Amino acid sequence: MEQHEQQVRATVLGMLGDTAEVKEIAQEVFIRFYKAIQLFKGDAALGTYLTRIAINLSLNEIKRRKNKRRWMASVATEDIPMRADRSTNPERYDDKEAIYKMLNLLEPTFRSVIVLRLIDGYSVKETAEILDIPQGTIASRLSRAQIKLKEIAKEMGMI
Amino acid sequence: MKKEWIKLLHRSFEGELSKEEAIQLTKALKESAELRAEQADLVATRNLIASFYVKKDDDFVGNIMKTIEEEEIVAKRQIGRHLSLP
Repeated sequence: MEQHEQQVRATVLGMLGDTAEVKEIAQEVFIRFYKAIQLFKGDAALGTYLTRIAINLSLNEIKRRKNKRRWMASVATEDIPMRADRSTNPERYDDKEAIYKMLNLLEPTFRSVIVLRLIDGYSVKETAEILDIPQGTIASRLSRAQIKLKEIAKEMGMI
Repeated sequence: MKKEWIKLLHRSFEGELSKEEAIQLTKALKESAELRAEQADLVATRNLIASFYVKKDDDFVGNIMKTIEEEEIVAKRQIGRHLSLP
């Protein structure tokens, strides 16, 4: 459990941002796994299996938020200080906070690809397996998501 | 900037280029300052996102074990109640 704790938390944090539900959902990943351990046949690596649960629970949470119109104020577009000059005010952004905001500006389907590929470090093939979509779709989403992230990062003065 | 260059650039990050494509991209990068700027921006963006990390939470495992134990106690009580029903 300790071996996978940080990665599962990184996945959930990347998907949901630093919100109150993250800890609970990350723990729920392991509780679900424990309760259904007999279903784990070892055909996927344990880390991949746990990540799949983490992504699914995160996507469910995003749907729940959308349905209840309870997006956290911290992820709202208008809260992002745009076009700041980082060179003159380097303390303005905390990188982690900025990354949460950048990720939350992506559609969940694109965000999941970025989180798995760039934060968790899964390959395109592994990402395709976890999300159960073709590798070509992953490559295409990755490409589009990176372009969008690049634009956001530039507007936020992060790059 | 040609669309195919952009496609090659994106694919290059995933190590998907053939030898010929890699040569083509190298040549395109030499020719186009715009493409070089795009590459630099994408590298910076990827590095920024990849710098995201979480610290280890010392309470994490303990909290999970506690939750599981509590849920098992509740489940056992419910089974006990069910069995003692007339």
